[in-house]
Amino acid sequence: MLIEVWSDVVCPWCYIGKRRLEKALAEFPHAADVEVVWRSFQLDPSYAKGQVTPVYEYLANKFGGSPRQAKGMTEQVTAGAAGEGLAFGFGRAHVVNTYDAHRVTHLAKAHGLGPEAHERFLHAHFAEGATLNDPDTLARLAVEVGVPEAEVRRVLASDEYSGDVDADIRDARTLGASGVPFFVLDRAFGISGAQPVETFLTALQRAYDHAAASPAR
Amino acid sequence: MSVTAPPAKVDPPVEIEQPAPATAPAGLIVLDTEDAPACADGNCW
Repeated sequence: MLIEVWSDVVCPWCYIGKRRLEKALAEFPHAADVEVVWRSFQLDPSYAKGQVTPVYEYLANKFGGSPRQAKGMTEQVTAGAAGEGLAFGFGRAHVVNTYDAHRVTHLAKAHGLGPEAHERFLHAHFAEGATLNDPDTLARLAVEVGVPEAEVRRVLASDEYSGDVDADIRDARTLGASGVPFFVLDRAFGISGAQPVETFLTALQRAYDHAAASPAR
Repeated sequence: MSVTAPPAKVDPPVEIEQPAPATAPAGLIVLDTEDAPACADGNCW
């Protein structure tokens, strides 16, 4: 079974949803038959590529109010993350354009390290305050999961993997994703949002039964 | 004299309309039934 997940590395509910899917897979008896592929999505593709804005300042600018009020907006998300064992530190997180992070993730995917890179970038953004548009930061994180540094530098100095990122984003629209995370099971079933573990488990079983009942492809 | 009982009145079967599963544009069957938190249009909050 193939599970494709459209996700952005600065999307808090994507990280929370990722944990919930992982918990469901840990309980799913056929998890060994499941492959999870992370696909690119950008929450704000129009965000200027070189810009770096602290999250509270970004929220205050976007929605009005003070950075203190913006902090209040993040509390529900922070609590949801804590419930999944994730320690979000929005106080030192920065909003950036994530296009290059996605290109590097596709490079990692070419090395069979896509899931590792996605997890590393999520953790770096939400727990370490890393700026995910900084070439040195992206190179350091990618190297940590096993991607050769020279290749990361080469990709960042070019437009390599742009086509893959764009194709992922196009696919999300074609499949009807109205937000992320967006989970697609065997291109037959869709699940939107950071659903409870039980919902993922039910979906996994339904997709598995569907595949078992379908003629071999 | 034989009496033929009138045929018992049988109500026609009632067809219960089943709600069609929600589908996304590409024909995906949307499995979740409740809104779950997500980020849409750049808004996660």
